[in-house]
Amino acid sequence: MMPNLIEQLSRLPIRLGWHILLMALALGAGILISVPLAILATRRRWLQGPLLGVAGIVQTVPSLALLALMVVLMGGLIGFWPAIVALVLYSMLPILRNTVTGLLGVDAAMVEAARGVGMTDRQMLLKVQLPLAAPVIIAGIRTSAVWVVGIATLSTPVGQESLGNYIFTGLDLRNHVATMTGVVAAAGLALALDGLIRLMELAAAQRSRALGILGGAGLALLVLGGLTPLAMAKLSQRAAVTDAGLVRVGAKNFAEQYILAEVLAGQLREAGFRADITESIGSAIIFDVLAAGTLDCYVDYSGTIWATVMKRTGSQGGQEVLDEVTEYLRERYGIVCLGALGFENAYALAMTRARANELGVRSIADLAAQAPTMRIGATHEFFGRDEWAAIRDTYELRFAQNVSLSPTLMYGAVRDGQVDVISAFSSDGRIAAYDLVVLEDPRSAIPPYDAILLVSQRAAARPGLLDAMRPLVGAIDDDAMRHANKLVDLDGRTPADAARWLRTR
Amino acid sequence: MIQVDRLSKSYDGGATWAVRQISFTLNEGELLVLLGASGCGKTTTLKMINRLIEPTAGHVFIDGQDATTVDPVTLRRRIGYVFQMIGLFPHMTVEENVAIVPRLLGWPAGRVEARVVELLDMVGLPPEQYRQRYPRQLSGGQRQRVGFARALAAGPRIMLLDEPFGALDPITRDTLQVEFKRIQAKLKLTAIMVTHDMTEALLLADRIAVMDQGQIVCIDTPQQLMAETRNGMVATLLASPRRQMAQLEAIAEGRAPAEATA
Repeated sequence: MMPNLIEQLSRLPIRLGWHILLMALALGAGILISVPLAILATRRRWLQGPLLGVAGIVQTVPSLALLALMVVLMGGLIGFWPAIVALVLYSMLPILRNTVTGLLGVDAAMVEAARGVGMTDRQMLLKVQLPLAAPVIIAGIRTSAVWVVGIATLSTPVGQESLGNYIFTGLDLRNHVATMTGVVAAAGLALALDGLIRLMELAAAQRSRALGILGGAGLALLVLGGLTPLAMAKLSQRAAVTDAGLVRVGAKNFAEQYILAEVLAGQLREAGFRADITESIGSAIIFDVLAAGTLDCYVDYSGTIWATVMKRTGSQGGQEVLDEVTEYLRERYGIVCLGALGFENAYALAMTRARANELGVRSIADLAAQAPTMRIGATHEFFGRDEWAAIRDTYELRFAQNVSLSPTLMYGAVRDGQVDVISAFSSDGRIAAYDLVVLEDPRSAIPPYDAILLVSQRAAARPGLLDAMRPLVGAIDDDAMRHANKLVDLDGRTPADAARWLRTR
Repeated sequence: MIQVDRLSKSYDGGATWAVRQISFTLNEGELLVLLGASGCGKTTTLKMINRLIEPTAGHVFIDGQDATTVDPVTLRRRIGYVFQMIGLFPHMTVEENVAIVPRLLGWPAGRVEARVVELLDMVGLPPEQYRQRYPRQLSGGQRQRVGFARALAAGPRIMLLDEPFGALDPITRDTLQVEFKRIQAKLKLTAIMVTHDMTEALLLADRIAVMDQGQIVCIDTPQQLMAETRNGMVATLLASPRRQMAQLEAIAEGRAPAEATA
């Protein structure tokens, strides 16, 4: 655990730096937008309802969905900008609401006195109303700051590094030390901000300059101190840029993808490219991101493109699907499908050998009669996919209950009898380790899922890049991948370790 | 000089009138008290003079100039205003409160500073002791002294006072009334003060305008009002101070205040 913790902590300065940058910019922009809007709303009363209404609706959109939506709205752009825009939107409601409440709550006698001594509306606002409403407004900013720190952890799935990387990669790879590091760091940051902004609030309420200076200095120290390692890393990186430029490698949110990203990055670095891995990208957006050219390469699965991008159902042989996918991606998106890596990671219904034998189930067709008394566990993504609809309709499956589980938890759940069947990934090391059986698919409802190497149009045009990666085609078979997955999922090794094993075996 | 000409205010398009066709003329250095019960329109009249409330009809002429044609912000900076609830800004020190209007007028810092010191001295608050204090650190009487200093800061020729002694205890009220009268006379301020306290009106006013239901019932000097017997309204308002005066005289002469139980 100690070496793991030390490794996690070594990444803290950069991740904390990104997190603080996201928080500070989102909050700053949130204040600059919300306070003037709120002032306008106190002068044009009819604006109040619509403004707070819209901000309230934004708040009810699940945060992860809002972030993913930003990626789509911004044409597949991932990373900093979609994250910051979503965070700004989230920061607005408490600031808007408290500014409106604070300004309307200023004693009418004060407003009359200000007019009576001959202040203009603007002078009245700046010299009397805003200072008197300041404690309430700052309280709103404080609420907003704590929200933003929490929600900023969700920038990881849209490709922006943050403290969320600890949490998501920790959950993806069952590295609880990483998860806890992220949780503790984010909570600590939120508490520190809460305390410092509370000081500013007290300073405004008690008109205490000393408290104001203390809070302001604390905030400045936190933000500048937190940003320093990030700024230094960025500067030294800029100095070290080679002419080959940067290649952005993507990974979805499970161990196999982390390992393959390390394999791709290793291959590229060996050929003299500089490669950066963006991990735990939501699988719903990763293809759009590649199509938009903000990501350069990643590994997807032929059946996934077949079902979710091409909207095809039913299946043919693996080679036909692969050929059609390759042709479609080239014509439609200019994306190069360099070839199949040599293994398949299919969706497959699996159950424990003991239970399958007990019920006499060998294929999915055998499940139909038993399904009404069984529970199926799968990722929430799977339940939304066309493949699930195809399996369900082809075999007329009606399960007693659909249980949404994270990919890391579902294998344990079926082993322990908490669910009866799961939608396993066929390359997962835990299928063998937990003695699960993969049910046959006699009616070919599930398409083949050959792992394929996808390269964006822009990256493919770089001299030498495709050549550098071509040796990977056909180089990783089912057994090799399953073993590499097992190294991470069950033996607690890092994805980089597993990638090294794959490349040197 | 202030001329008020058929000044009127209605909040419902003329169905009812809060103030109706009020006219009077006030000479330089004169103190007029608007006296009447709550809701008689006296405060509305006062606020129409510096356009905190816009008149529905009628005019106010200040030194011959129609106030409705002047920018209201400029107008208000030329007129000192003392508020019923004192109206000091709680987030500003005594010094900052007093300096508001000079700063709004863009006076240089040195002149503002000197003026604050001069005014705090004038209202009996030693500057070194009080200038850095916040309103919450002052007694009610001290706050209204600051209120007077603030109203006087830019050297206005006209002062409007909305029940300025209403929030004070009787002893403080008496002291401040005397000091205000002294300052008003010394600076030859033309002043209009609103009150519902007949005794206060009699003691301070050069002339008193008695108001009822939005109109002036009668306007006269305190001496002539005291002699007045015909007007029932005025007689009622005067009954209380007259009775108190008789009782005080009786006590002073060692007699039992016979009317006390009457």
